[in-house]
Formats: sequence, structure tokens, C-alpha cells
Amino acid sequence: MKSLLSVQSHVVHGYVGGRAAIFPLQTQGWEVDNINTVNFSNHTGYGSFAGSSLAPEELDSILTQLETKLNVQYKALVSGYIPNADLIRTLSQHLPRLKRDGGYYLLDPVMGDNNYMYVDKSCIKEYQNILLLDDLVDIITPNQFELELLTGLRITCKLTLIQAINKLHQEYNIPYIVITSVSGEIFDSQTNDIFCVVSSSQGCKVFKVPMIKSYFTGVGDLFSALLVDRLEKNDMDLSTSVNQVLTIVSWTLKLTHKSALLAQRAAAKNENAGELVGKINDADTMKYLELRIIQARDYYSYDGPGEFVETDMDRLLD
Amino acid sequence: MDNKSLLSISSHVVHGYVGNRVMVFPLQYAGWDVDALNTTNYSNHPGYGSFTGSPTTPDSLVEIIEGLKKIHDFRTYDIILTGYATTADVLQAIKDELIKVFQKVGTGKRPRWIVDPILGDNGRLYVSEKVIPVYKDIFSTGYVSLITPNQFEFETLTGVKLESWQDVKEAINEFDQTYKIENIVISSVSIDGQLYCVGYTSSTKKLFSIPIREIPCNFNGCGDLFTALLSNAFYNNNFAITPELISDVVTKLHKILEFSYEDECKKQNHTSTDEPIKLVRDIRVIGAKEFLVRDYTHELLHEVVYL
Repeated sequence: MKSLLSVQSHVVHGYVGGRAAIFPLQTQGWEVDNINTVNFSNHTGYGSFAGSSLAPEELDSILTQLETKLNVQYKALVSGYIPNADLIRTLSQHLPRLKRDGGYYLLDPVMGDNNYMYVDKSCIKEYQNILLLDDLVDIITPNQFELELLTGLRITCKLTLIQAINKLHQEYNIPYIVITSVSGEIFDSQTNDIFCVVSSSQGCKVFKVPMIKSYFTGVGDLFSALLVDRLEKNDMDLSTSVNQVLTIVSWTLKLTHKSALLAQRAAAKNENAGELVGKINDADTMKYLELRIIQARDYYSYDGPGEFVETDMDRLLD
Repeated sequence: MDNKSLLSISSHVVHGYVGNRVMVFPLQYAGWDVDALNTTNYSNHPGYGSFTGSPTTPDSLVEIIEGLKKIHDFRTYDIILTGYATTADVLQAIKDELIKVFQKVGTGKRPRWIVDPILGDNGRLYVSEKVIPVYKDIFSTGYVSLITPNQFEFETLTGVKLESWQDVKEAINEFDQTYKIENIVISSVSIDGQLYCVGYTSSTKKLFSIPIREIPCNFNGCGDLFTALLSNAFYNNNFAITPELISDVVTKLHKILEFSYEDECKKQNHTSTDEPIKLVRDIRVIGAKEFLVRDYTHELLHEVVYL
């Protein structure tokens, strides 16, 4: 069996962090060990939540136990939301041992989005320190804002985007890079599209992804999990894998949006209920927009060509 | 919401399959939205000889439940399932929080409360005996739909040693008169060297048994998986304990355990001349997932005996 270690958040209710990542991986045959970096009642988008973060000493003792007593061997490691710098540092100290059997590591440097940080600034340096360690990170999946934080470069156009990506390749030696969402402005897009940019030895490619006008949470966590699975099945072919993952994620979002409308209408007992748009910190809309991770079960094995058009970055520069 | 949903209150381990780790995936694979409230955060289960991590304190459990209640109506759960509680204080805290939910139900939709009274197995308690009276209090509330003790747990709760069918009948009768539980399923009882699963429904007084094909090996997490499979079948069967339901659950469990046993033999390069494997620490719920969605309701019906 192929086994994987997932280090992410846990919520009792809803689907973010490990809760969005683990079930899809399990359906694809992965034995997932999961460390919960936080233990919360629900994700913070509801406006209220309860629970606590894992203590760094406890993370250390759990990882030590896995490495020395259980002699775990992981084919893949995934890290997502880690709430503070101490926990990131503790994880980084264990990474060389966790990777000793040649597993590959996907780092999703979850720090914020749209120029807003939801972890402390001290986390940036800790992630940079992980990147500086020798060849530990195989795949990285920041969004545009996180790419800026990691590289210190402000991304205002295609050229600065490429500079930032090259910095990750050259200074940090990361072979597989996916910038999960780049704003339309960078690509002079007049529509509401976002762009997913992938870069590896195969070159740099761009996918245009139509956006559903709503606030979903856990999408990035689902994306990273599916990417690990697809890369393993596609012999590390990044652009094929990303196209498949984008396809699965878009189906999951459509299903979620459709189910959310039905659920909201059923609750309102009113066919004319207004347009449902998820708003952050609004429990009334959030509760309908939890990803339908369970109902999307049959999507996760998708291995077709992908529904998105891939464009070479070079062509876009002309 | 728009799907069947269940709250499962049990243990979490980072590695291996016990508690919520052996329950959540099978339920999810059967289509459930499972909310998972963890009573522990351990590296692995104690069957490995050592472990690290910590139990969830009663205060933080209450804090999380109260936080969850702010954004989610517990009355919308189809099932609330309580499993491994580390101490009497933890169980008391869970009980107090859930009682508040059931008191508010009124005539509306009511979650079915399934209690696995986790005390121990094979003649040995693995929780403090202070937990026992708290379970008894829970059984007296009138809010519990189904309990799923093993033989040792039912003996501990009733004070009756189960050595014959007469003992089983008497223990069940007395239990039924003392507490207000709608359904009882004893996951396994050994009578004359044969294992049986026993089902009982209070309203009809129907008591029946189905023999279990035994694998001479211990499986950590087996009782938790049994309760998870039973919860799904209980819902699908309109919350009635029938021979069809027990046939389905017992057969599914057997298939998964058999798969796990064979996989363990492979992993250990076990040959027929070696000593038989006596313990499987990790049930292969992921590898055996195909069995989770098969239908075995008719598999063992010819072996049902009403008592």
C-alpha cells in the first residue's frame, strides 16, 4: 500500500484542511496518516469557532514516535495550514527523516490570500528556511500572494511572475511549481477568470479557469491532495496532472454550488430565494457552501485529458 | 442539510485504524457526512506498546461542542455516535452536552443516539471503572436508540456472566427492565465455543442470534468498525434491528477482517508452517473498501435463531 502523511487542520464540521484532503486520497487507495495542526469546531469563515492549536512539543513527540518506534515509510508528504512559526519549525526539523525513504513532499505554504495574511508574519521566514534546506520540497503550491511573500517580489505583470517562479526553481531548487491562482490583471483578462500557472522541466504553462462567484473554503487543500495523487499516477507529469486536478475541482465546485442552492431553497421553502453567494464571516451562507467532498467521490479517479486549455507562457509574452 | 449526517465522538490516532480513524472512512465511503469530534490525539493506538500525544480534556471538548452548536444545529444529525471516552469526566461532559440537545428536540426530527460503551474486552477493563456508572446514567436517560457492547462489556454492565443462552436471555431481560434502550446488539458472545452476534429490540421483545465465522486472531479497532458498519445499516433499515441487518454487518466485517488477515500474512511473509498470526494491529479499511458497499443482507439469514 502507498502511504502518505498529511499535516493540516482538523475541523469537526465541514471540509477544509485534512477534512478536504484525506477522504479523496483514501478513495484513491492512499493510507493517510494525519496530524491535526489545529482542532477546531469549524473553519473560521463562519465568523465564530472554538478549539485550539497543536502544541509544538506534541507535534515533536508524535513525529518522533512515528519515525523511531513505528518506522513509518511515506511515499508522499503533504503539509497545509500550520497556524504558527513554532509548528512550522518543528515540522521542518523532522522533514529529513520523514523523507529518508525517498518520498516526495508537497508544501502548500498556506499564509493568506488577496493581500491578507491569516497567519503571523513570522511564518514567512520559517517557510523560507524549509525551502533553503537541501532539496526537501519537491512540489510547492502557493497562490499569487503567497508567492510574493515567499520570494519578496511584487507580482505586477507576466515578467515579475516569471521572475518569482524562477527564483523558486533556481534559488530554492524546487522542481515542480504550481501557482494555484493568479489574478486576471496579470494576463490582461477582462473577465472574471483566474489563472493557474505551472512550471517544471517541461516548461511553464498557463491554464485559464473560470471562477464561480462565491466564497468556497478548502479548495486549495483539495487541490494539493489531488495533485499528489495525480502526480504519482502520471509519473510526475505536472501539466497533465494539474489539468486533471483542475477538472476534478471544477466539477466539485459546480456540484457544491448546485447542492447549496437546492439546500438553501429547501430551507427557505421558497423557489424564488435570491442568488446564493457565500460571504466570509457569514454563517448563514457558509453552511450551505461546504465542499461536497463526500458526494464528489466518483470524480476523484478522473484520468482523462482534462477540460482546460494549456497555453505556453512564452506565447503569452509576445 | 442535503445529505445524511452523523456526529462521531471517538479517538483519533495519527497512524493506524482505531476509533474515529476506523469509523470515519467506512461511513464516508457509504455516503455519510461525518463530523468527527476527537477524544484523543495520539500518535498511534496502545497496541503498539508505546504512544505519544494527549487526550482531549473535558473542558476543551465542551468548548468545541459549544462552538459547534453556535454554527450548527445538532438536531439535524441523523445519528450521534459516542465511542471511546478516555475518562469518566470526559464521558460525563459528552453526556451533559448531548442531553441538552435531546431535551430541545420536542416533536421534530430527533438524532438517533448510538452508544458503544467502551470498557474493555476479553476479561480486561481498559478504562477506569468510574466510567461504568456514567454509562448506566446514559442508559437511563431514555435518549439512547442503540447500544453495541461486546460480551465483556455487557457482562460488566449487567453483572451476569454469559455462558448459556439462558444467561443471555436473563441478562437482556433484566437490562431491558432496568434501562430505557430501544435496541441492543451484542457484537459477539461465545456460547459453547461458538461466537454469535445477538440482536434485541425492546418494543417487540424479539431476541435473535447469528453465528459469526471466527478468525482466530485479535484485530485492534474491530469493535469500532463494527459499530460504524452497524450505524450505517441501522439508518438504511429504518432504525430497526433485524436479522437482515445483522447478516449484512457481520458479513461485511468478516470480509474486511479476512482481507486484513491475509494482507498481514503477506506483509510478514508468513508461511503455513509458521506460528499463526495472533494480532492484526491495523484493519485494512482502505484496501478493503470494496466490501463496504456490497450487500450481504441475505448471506446468513438461514442461520438465524430466535431465542
